[in-house]
Amino acid sequence: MPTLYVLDVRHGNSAVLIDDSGIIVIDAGPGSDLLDFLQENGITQIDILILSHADQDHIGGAMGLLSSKEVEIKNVYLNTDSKKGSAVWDDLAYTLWDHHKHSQVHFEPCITPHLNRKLDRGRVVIEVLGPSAYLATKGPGSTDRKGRKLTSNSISAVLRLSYENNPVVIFPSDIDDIGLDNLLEEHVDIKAWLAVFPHHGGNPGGGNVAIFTTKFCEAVKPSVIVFSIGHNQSDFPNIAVIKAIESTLAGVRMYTTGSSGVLLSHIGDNKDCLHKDCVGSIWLHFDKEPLEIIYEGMKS
Amino acid sequence: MSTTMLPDNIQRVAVIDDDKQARDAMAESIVDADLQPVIQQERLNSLADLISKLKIGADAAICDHRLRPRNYASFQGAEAVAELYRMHFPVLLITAWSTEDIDNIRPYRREIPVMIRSGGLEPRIIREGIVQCLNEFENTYVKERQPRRVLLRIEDVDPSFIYIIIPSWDSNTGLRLPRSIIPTHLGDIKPGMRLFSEVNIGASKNEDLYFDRFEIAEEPGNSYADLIRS
Repeated sequence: MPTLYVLDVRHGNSAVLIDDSGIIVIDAGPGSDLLDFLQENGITQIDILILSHADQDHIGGAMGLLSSKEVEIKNVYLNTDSKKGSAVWDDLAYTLWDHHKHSQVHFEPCITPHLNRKLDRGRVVIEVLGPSAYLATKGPGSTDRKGRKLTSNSISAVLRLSYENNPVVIFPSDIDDIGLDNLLEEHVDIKAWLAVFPHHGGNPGGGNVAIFTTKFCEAVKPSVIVFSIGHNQSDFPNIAVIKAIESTLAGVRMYTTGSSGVLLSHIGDNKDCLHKDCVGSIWLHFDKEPLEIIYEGMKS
Repeated sequence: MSTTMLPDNIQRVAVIDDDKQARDAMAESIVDADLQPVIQQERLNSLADLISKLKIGADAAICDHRLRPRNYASFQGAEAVAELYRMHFPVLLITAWSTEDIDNIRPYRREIPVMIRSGGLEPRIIREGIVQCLNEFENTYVKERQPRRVLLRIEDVDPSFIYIIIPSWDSNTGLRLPRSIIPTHLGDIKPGMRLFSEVNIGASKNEDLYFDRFEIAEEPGNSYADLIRS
């Protein structure tokens, strides 16, 4: 059965979709947690590695993965980022070339909706919601149609996974308020049952965090929100984010992968809420009805 | 008493330290770990001398890094631990973890499974550390010690050290490695070059990182060369 794992990679993002005909990885987090997960589960081949943008907490693990020789990666997709430090980008080029020498890898430095229907490896439909070809072509450092400056976060790839025509999970990566505005102008419907919250629940660029959160929640209408954070976090998720989520979405459940003093304290003050702090990795089986998440912390 | 199970053939634990007070404290911890301390009091003339003594009289050892100050030994603790590791003899290293110690220890760090800060030798740590050594001899590693082939970016070079970034560990934190750690057959190492090396990137602290099996990273070719920006 198709299964999605949202991994506890400390402060970063990584998810693994195991579908009927292949394995897709969405972001690689920092460090070796993704590689550890793949080895523990006997996974030696990834069909598609999607890197939403070139930040360390999303691609650091990809460089380790590409260098390791322990896992074969067939396709890599990444949005280019001319503003990003050239050294990190060059590091990625070295590791891609090294991997390519051992096992041919197809690399495409562009993630836009043109990939839709090309990423699926089974019953789960992988949809690229953004950035549009227009924004991706303009790139970070340029401006959008309203003259607002685009950052690498503005053009983070936003992906949605659907199953039997039901939108299940959205990965908005580190999208900021400008990116979200552009996305909403182009997609009326970005609903999903579970959202991995943008930017780990931190400040989404220069905009107002509560307004951004409300806008995001009204558009996605998730039942479950996951904050992929490190351990002993005192800043993530932002308390304004938590409060804006609760005031927008009745009955929503929030989970942090790592330990958040902010959410823990909020849970302490609101005994009836359903949120859970420090649950570790989270997974769900797409063909379970109704959908439910399982998490590492359930074992203890 | 710690409950970590040890094989029956691990009973006698040698204590190697130039400081008598420290030796006595370590011996006490070993007793608390339900093991038998074997205190090495006499000077050790060479590594061979140490090895021959341990082969006869101990099943494991705890060794301080700084053994030379009181003319106790002719070698450093890290050197001894690495040699014993290669012989599959379980041994834990004690150190004060000064910057100088970290630089001295780095070339041997691959073969030092457990490094304990002075004063942190608890009975539980002794038993768990010995088990960790035995597991590594069977190529079973804890996440923090698992070797991973990763890219190193050379940031700077001086006569004593090379300064590197490990992008898949932390692209914002620079590290320095003694130049002697890089095999001479790799030739001249210059800023901007990339190397591959086996590194335990699951470790969270700089001092726990080891480096092994260095290779020069080939400059990207074909369409990958077009990605290079610097």
